[in-house]
Amino acid sequence: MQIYKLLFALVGLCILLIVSALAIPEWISPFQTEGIEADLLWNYRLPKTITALIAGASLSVSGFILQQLYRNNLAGPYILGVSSGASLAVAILIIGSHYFPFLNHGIGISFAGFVGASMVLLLVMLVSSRFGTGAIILLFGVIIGQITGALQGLLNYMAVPGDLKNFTLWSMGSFSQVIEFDLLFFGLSALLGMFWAFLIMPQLSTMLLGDEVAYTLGVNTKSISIQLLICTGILSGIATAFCGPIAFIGMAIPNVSRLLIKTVNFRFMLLVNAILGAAMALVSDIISSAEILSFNIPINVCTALIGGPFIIYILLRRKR
Amino acid sequence: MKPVLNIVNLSIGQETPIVEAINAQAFKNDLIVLTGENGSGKSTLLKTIAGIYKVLSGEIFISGESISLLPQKKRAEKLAFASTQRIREDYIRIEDVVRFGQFPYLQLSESENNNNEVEKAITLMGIDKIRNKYLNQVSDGEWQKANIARVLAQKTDLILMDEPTAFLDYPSRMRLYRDLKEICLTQNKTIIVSTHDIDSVKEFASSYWHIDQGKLDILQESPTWRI
Repeated sequence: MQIYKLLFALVGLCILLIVSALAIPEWISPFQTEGIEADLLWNYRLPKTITALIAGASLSVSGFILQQLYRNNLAGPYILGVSSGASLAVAILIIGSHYFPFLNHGIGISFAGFVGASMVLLLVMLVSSRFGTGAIILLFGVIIGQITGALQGLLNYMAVPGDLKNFTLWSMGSFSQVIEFDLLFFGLSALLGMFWAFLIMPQLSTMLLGDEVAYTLGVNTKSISIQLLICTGILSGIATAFCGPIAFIGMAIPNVSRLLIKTVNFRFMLLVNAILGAAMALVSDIISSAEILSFNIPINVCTALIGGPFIIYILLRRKR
Repeated sequence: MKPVLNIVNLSIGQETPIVEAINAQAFKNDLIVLTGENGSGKSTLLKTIAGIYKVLSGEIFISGESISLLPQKKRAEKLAFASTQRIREDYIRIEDVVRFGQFPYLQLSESENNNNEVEKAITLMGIDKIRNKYLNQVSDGEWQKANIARVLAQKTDLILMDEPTAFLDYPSRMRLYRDLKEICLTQNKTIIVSTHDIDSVKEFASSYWHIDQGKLDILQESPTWRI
């Protein structure tokens, strides 16, 4: 029962945040149907809010899956280099689309994001199966991030000025670039990734007893791991493709969820993570749009300012 | 009487064999202690029987069925395996551990029957009072009790335990072996336990399997067994 109360409270919080996100920096009456203000509300703020919801949920669910799969509470799509892999693939696609313009649309970009993310996930999987899942995979992820960053720097160097500015803005994270068909596609693919992961959450929870014990409980641990990595590839790859590499949500939210509720019911944990991740993305979006500094603060600045101190708290708490 | 576990001409190891030509049988109400030095192949033998490692050559039969022909899901209803790993997560309760034992039998949601099996195992191991404790708050002895309750909830004839006494002090070890013996006789199980402390298990086992230099020797049934 307590579980449902919590879900209820979280959904309430999310609705409150959605309304705030739509009403910031200034209130626009939803009953206005014409004029610049209505256009701003329906064609800018609404898609941006929905994008934030989907991206936040996707990233935190990816983080939760990675943390449980590798039993490492600091894992996440950003630190493991998954977001960087997706970024690099998208950057290559955008450069390439100068020569093959048909590539440059929502589905092409999301596919690139998915492929880039999956390649890095595959590498992480190989490293972890050989060398364990502790600090090594985090270091590996950081190095992958550096390498892809360098390659992307090279691409930036070659890019024309217009593309360069787009890249740079994109790499700071943004929820406001996804509209119309892209938004629909983004939503559907996130739903697919989450639903798939939701189905195999009970199997993932048996792996808490160790992969060998899970295997003797009838769980095909290899197949489950691979399926979960595909889900993570879809969720974090496509979110990164559309919104840029967004840090901290995927790492921080699973830890917040674990502080909020202690359960081995991973289907429930997945829902809590999705809602809380959406909430964190919305809060970041609200701070970003509030024009505190007379301009929109980039999303990654906001997520880092909210998530960073929290991660430090988790780290220090664990040491004691 | 048909053996619960029948091992025929088995070689084990990962790629290269470390123990060869194993022939052994285990029957209902047998508590077998598997001894041998570290690295001698105790774990490998248990994990090969459990299906985690592949058989190099030879065959393993459980209640007359070859394990290589049994699908993994069916195997989970025939044998239960407990690893040495001590889990300390602060969000897993003792009861959750036991509940995992019913995983092979879960339908879409937990049924009355699933709950009953879990309750039975909890009562049998006397862990009702600590069922809501989180794993970071329980002693190693309590963790092992939860572990045994979990394999009991799995309702299998054969139970394999890899070094359950590894982290236990002497009194807890004695208690664990007494528990295992009682379960073995009252619940009609076949239990194989690996350990490297041979001295403390003298009067608890029905027989000893000892691995030495790539061979498995089977030692006499203990005269005080079943008393």
